[in-house]
Amino acid sequence: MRGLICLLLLLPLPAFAGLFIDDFEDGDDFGWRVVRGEWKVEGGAYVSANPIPNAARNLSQVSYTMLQSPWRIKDGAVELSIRFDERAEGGDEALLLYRMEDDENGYALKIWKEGLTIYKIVVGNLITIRMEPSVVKPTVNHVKLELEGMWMKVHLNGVLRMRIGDPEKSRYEEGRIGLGVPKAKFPVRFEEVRVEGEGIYQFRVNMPVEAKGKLPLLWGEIKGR
Amino acid sequence: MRKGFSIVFVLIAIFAIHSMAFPAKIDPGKLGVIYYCAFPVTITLDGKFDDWPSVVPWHKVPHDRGTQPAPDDNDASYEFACVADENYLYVAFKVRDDKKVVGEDTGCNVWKDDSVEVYIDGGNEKANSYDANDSQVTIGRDNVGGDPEHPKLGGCVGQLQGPNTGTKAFVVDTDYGWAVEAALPLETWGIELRDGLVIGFNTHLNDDDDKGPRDHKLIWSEKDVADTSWKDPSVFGELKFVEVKLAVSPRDKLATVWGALKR
Repeated sequence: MRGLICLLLLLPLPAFAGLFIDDFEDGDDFGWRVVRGEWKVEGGAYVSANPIPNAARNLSQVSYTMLQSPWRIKDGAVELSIRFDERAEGGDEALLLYRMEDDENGYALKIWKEGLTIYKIVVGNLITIRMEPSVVKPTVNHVKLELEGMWMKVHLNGVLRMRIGDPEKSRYEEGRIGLGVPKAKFPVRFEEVRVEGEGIYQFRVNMPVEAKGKLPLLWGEIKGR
Repeated sequence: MRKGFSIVFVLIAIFAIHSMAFPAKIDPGKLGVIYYCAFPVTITLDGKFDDWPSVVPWHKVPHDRGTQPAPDDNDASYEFACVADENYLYVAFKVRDDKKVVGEDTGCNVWKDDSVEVYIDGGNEKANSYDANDSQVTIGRDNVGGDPEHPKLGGCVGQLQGPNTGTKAFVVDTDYGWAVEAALPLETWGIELRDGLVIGFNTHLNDDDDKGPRDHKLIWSEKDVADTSWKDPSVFGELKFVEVKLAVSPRDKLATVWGALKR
């Protein structure tokens, strides 16, 4: 029996896919870090409130927020619902940032009236890899992005609409996710963010996740009560 | 007894002729990487496919292989095959398509409607931009009922544009969708046919389901991961010409054999 246990311990451990969900029902945005713009949690959604009149070509013009997760997504899936204001009549746009190595480098998927666009983000610049026309609803759209190596598959409202690859050696292998608005007249709402993949897990979203330097502050807070 | 012997002899003769006509099998190549194109085989452009030898491989591109996948194979998928003779590269497409849309965009813009695309890099240089022997030839379903000698073609990119390649095409509607038999003149790309010659090659399908923009885009070459063949030959796959021994079409030969036996 002991031999069997030793043998099992020697076997390489399989990697398990895990899940992270933030439905914003707790009313706070802890775990998220606003890089630019005005963001607030409201009615089970994370909302970008400030208008952006012209379509952004660089992240410096985008209202966006990054999930400060302790994990980074490599292969797996990210899904969420994006709700545009009816008054925008299809004119507002949203970004899902992924495999972000830092605040200025990674990929972005844009959902807009013409369809779906995937960008490679290099030092903040939004460089189009591919745009595919698709039927984007003027109000609510459910987006699922699947990542596998160089391949990126986009399901829009339950239908696989886009499959592209980034074969370049300079591609981003893994990174964090974020939400953004590159153009909007009205508030854009992001709902029920789900991330699934190897090494992903449900960290407490109402707690600072980068522990470095945070523990003394927390301890100080507790002592101060 | 004598009649039975004759029947057996005829069957053996048929088998022998078929075996002589083509090797038992042509290397199927690898989907998205390389296609082995048998020659010399001459095809009549009539949309019937009955003169395509059965041993010629067909590469099937399913609904989910491309930058704009379709929900299933009936919505959009295709298979293609190639053969060649001293003058032409023949490419056949069988396209599954449940909603056929044509006439909205024609000529250079036919890629927005139902159409297939053949990409040729005659020198197989795999350059990052089109040179004098690189072409995109787009054949729309709007050629159904048209003149196969002078089809309407798209592919208006580069120095050697699709409409100027001398490509002939016969396009027909079928019960599963539509089909194409095309003949691309080898001399257009400076291709001198010989066993083992490799050229750059790719095929695409554009599917429009509801007018407006294209709905699905399927791609054969596995290197063309972002639909850039229209500007970048380095993402093409390859086509290798393979000579088949004693290549004769078995069509119409059976009657001759039967006649000889009767005598």
